[in-house]
Amino acid sequence: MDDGRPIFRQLAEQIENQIIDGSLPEGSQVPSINEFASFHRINPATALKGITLLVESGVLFKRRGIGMFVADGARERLLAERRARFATEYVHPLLLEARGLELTTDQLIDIIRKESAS
Amino acid sequence: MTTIVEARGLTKRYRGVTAVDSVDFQIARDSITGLLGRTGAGKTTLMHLLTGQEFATSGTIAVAGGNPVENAGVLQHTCFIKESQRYPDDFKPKHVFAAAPGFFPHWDADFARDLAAEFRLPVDRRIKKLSRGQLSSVGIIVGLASRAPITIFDEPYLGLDAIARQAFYDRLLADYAEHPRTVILSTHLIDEVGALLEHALVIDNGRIIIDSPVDALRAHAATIAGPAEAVERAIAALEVLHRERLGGFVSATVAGITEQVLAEARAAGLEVGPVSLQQLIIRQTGGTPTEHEEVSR
Amino acid sequence: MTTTTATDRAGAPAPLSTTPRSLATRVLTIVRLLFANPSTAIWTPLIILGFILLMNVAIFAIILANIPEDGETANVNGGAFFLYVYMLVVAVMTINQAFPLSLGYGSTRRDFLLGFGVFAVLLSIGYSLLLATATAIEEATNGWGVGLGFFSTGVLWQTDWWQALAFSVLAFLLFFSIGAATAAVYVRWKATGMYVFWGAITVIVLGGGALVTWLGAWEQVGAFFIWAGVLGSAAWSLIVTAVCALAAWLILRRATPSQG
Repeated sequence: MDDGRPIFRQLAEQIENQIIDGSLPEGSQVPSINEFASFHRINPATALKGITLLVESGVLFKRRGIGMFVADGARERLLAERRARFATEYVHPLLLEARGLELTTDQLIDIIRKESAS
Repeated sequence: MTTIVEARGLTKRYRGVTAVDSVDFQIARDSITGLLGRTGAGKTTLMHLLTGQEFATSGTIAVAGGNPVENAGVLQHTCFIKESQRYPDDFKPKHVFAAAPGFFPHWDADFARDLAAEFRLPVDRRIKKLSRGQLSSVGIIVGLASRAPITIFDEPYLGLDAIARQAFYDRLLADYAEHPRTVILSTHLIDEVGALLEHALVIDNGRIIIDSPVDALRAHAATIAGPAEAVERAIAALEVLHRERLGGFVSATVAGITEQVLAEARAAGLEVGPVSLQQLIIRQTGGTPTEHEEVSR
Repeated sequence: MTTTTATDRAGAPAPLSTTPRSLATRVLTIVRLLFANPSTAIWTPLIILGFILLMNVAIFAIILANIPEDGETANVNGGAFFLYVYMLVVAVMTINQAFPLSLGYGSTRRDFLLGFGVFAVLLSIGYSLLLATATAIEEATNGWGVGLGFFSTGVLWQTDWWQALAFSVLAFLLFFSIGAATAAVYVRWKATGMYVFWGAITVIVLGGGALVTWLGAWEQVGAFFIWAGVLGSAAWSLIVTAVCALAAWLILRRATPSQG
């Protein structure tokens, strides 16, 4: 758990991924701060910051005295956000690399077709 | 945030050598703070000042609101585990653990027993006959089981292998989560403890050169690499900590970055990579990596 | 984004109280540390004492068996005297080794030295009870049946039990305090301190002797001890004891881990 970015951001993103892939369904309880901290071997305050980020964006909600839960509609919202970022985060680098290799856009599309067929 | 340690203009001079040079800093209550820096940078002196073992030449240090020197009211909250603690010659670990509860009102004897088993410490063997690593684990056990509100570890892991060090970090985190307290950890092994730390104080030549939340430090720096011309354009407005050149290729470690800068750099086809905490600190203390990694031996 | 720390989870914790625990608790903590392993201060010297005593009794029994004579010639060797010197060494080692440890564990220098004082007084009383009682037994049994003066060192012990006890306590305290002062010098100034310290002691002792010789006053010195008596002389040692204890305190209160 360390790609150089702030750890709390990485943690938040990892929880988001789990919500998107369904391993943390909407309405389900997420592990506690201390569980996250000891699992990832990070400072509990850092784990708390990551969770707080998700609470503030409405992905998680707090039930006093019980714990944190995945909000209804969280998955849809996360999917929409990620799709919006898809072009800049994945397509742009892809095009950049393709250009460097002197691949035309058509050739690139062919490659994508072939790859998704297999 | 509640402040538990506050230093102002704190200075310690020994015959002509300024070990701690007019430093100002605060440490937050119930946090894990890393005190990082090169050997001889002033870390140990600072920790001795903090626990009233050393007398300040000038300036002040307040711990739990009071001057720690000869102050039983302050010192009852502290536990200082030093790199090469000496014990009475005839002592066995069990004697240390038997005497500890008097010093540390929150001492947890069951926890100490647990830790001794985990670190495979022979509690009934003379301390003089213990290996370097076993000796270190005596200190680590006392430091953890003391549950002292202000626990200070000064390079506590000498002679411990990677597995034992990981056990120490895991136990520290788990116990800290259950019993929040102020932990100050002085270490060379910056990347090993990077994720444990909430805050980093980096001392170099007796001065605090970095005093920052670790998250902010990470967000603050990156390496940008690629063709020299493009890299120079991307980093023109940034603070360059380090620059390496190989023919027409440049790799620069920069501080003061923003998401926008990184996005533009990526768009320009440059490689953007993370800087580890250790790299960052090496860059800022102007040292060479070998000087920092000597303890990994 | 709000910055949150670990404390926010449990709500703000109560501030740390800087009211110290009672002096008795703090001093007792040090006493417990110093007695945590009683082998060096108690068991080892007792075993040595018992062993030398047995050896002596055996040797004297052999001598007695080979030289048929009435047991009136008491053979005084005062073997038990080693205990005093041993305790001086215990004082040096204890302070040198336990002082830095105690400081790291959050004790003050003052509490440490008070704790050491209690440790020294307890040992002094304990050993003196033992020595005074052993002396009484020795005298009652005519030197363990072989005319051996192991505990009764000549004139010193031709006294009653209480006087023997008082003398012994004072003597132990003297040796403990000399040890404490020596250790304090070592802790603060290490080897350099030792050279200066022992150099100074040598100069004082030789100089004092030379002075007394020059003044031709050895008779007066002898007269003083005769005048003061055994217990009186011991009582005068309290001055030296007090000076050493004070010196130990003054030296240790400014001692730091980096010195030496």
